[in-house]
Amino acid sequence: MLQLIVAGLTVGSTYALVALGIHIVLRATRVINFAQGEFVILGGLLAFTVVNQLHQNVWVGLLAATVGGFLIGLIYERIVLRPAARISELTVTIATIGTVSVLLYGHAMLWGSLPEPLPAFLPGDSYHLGGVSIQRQSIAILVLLALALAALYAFFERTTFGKAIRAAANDPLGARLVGIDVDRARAISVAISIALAAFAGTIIGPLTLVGGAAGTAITIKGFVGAIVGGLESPVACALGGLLVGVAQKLIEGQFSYGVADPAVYTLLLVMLLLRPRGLLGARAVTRD
Amino acid sequence: MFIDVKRSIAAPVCVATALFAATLSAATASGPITIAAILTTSGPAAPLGESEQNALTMLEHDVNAHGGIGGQPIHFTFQDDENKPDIAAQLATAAVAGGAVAIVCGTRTATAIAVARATAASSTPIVYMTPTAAVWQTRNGVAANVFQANPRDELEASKIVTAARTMLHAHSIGVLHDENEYGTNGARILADEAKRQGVQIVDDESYAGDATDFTPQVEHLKAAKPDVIVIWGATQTPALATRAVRQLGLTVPLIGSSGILSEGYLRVAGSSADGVYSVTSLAFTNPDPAQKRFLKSYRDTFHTRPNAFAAFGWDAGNLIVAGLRASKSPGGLAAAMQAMAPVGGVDGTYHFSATDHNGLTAGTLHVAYARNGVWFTQ
Repeated sequence: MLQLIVAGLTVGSTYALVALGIHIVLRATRVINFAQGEFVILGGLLAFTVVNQLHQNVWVGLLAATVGGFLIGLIYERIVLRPAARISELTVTIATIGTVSVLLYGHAMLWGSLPEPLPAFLPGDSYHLGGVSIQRQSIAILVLLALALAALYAFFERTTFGKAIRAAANDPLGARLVGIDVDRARAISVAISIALAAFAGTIIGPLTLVGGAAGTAITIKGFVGAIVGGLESPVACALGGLLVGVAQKLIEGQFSYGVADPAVYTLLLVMLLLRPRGLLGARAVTRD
Repeated sequence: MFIDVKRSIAAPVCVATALFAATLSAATASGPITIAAILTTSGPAAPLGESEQNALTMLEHDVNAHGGIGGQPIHFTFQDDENKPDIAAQLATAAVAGGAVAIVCGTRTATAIAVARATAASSTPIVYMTPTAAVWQTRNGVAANVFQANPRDELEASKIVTAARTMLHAHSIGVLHDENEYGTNGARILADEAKRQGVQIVDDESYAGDATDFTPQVEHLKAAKPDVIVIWGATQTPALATRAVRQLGLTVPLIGSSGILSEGYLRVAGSSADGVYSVTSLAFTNPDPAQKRFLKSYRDTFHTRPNAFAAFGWDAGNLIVAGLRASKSPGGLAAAMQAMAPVGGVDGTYHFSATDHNGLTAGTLHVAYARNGVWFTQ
């Protein structure tokens, strides 16, 4: 049981970061970014390039992927989301779906479609505690997740710019009236979201390989996490992602892997029907 | 509304003309004999398909350098099925319509099945390269045009269980297999063989082809306490499974099916692959004369050691070449292949008959083991 929980938390870390990214883009643009999982894959591939082609260590790869993700997020917002937003929210949604295909085939063209291994952040044997084996990489992933969440909390809660971004997301008109550049705030929000995805793709890479076509599945699991936790709260989204990871592994352990995915997607439907604000959500899902 | 008759019939006429021309050119004695090669050269199975493609390219040069087939050169047309059965079927249909005399296919079992179904109504022979005999050994009997260039699952299962029993002194086996046709079929045949040899299967776990975490399966295996774990799968997923088995503290010997015998597996599994066993017909360490020639030619041409999949590709192409030499007419190629004299290949000697479209025997297989990122054979 404990072994499965550790595995669930490790897998769930990616879902947590994806859920958080979905939450940030949703707050800024009022649409779900269906390409979030593809940006996870892109982040892993960026790190792979830095590690394998530029012969840097994996920590430099993580930094480069995160910064690269941020810059790509700025470009994505400027040339895809912002023009689409001038038409309608539906157009933005369709644009994010289109981005999935562009990135999926783009990754294959640039990096090939063969998933590649990434070196471990903490190389060495697993720890064995009371019959539970804990991979060093799992510890690294959970610590990095905690650091990322703490950094995001500090940015959005403690800095003037972070508060301005939140204000722009909550009340764009009011924010404009007090002199906040709402377009810039949205661009930064999207960039942070994509940086988080790239960060997630890199930290999970040593366990899962980077590249391949798993982006959509990651997006869906992250989305389920956001719904389960509560789309309106970043903490709830992150906890929801972790919860989905743990639930998935416990179900796999109790039954079989074939049961886990249908069960997780059923959970999504049940949550939407019975508790659309999520387990921890307190406010309305949509903004007024 | 008016219909532009000229335009509406122009496209079908052009396609029909092109197909007729292609058929004519393939059939004329002056042009090369076209053999379609529908392989998986992208995605996780790419290292397998690329090795097969390399071997077929090498074979084409070799055959043509020695006068071709009765003075006529051969030519393999390579196409990527993207590991998708529907694409493989479409490519096979187009290849038959385009006049290919035969098809080499089946980097993966699912695509081999798709090509076999797409060509069932034609007499065009296909040679596929996975161990699943069920592609030619159907419920309706032997598929007349389908041949297999790979030791079939039954031989592999027999060798694996024998190795587990005699070499590793195992009384029980835990199985971890891919959920796909190859893995499921292999696990079923392995269970039958284990029962025959008096070895107990204490756990049977499966995983999705794109799985990245195996903790639940490994936990079940731990609880079952097998003497040996057999991983039946291909491409890189078994490498991740191997890593998980070792990282989660299971130290029992691992034996993989021949699907793991690639450099890609060793690269991903890293040090966890050290000591892993598998089975192969290509003896890397002590090759027989035919294998020695193949190993040298491949190394000279591509500056790397061939893997088992290259050997499958070489044999598949060679079987068609032997059939063409034995055949009196292109239409009778499948019948000629079935009736031809035994063909010596890198993977053994193929004795085709009306009831056996594989014809290899258990003696062709060797136990392989991984050490420091290299496969060796005993």
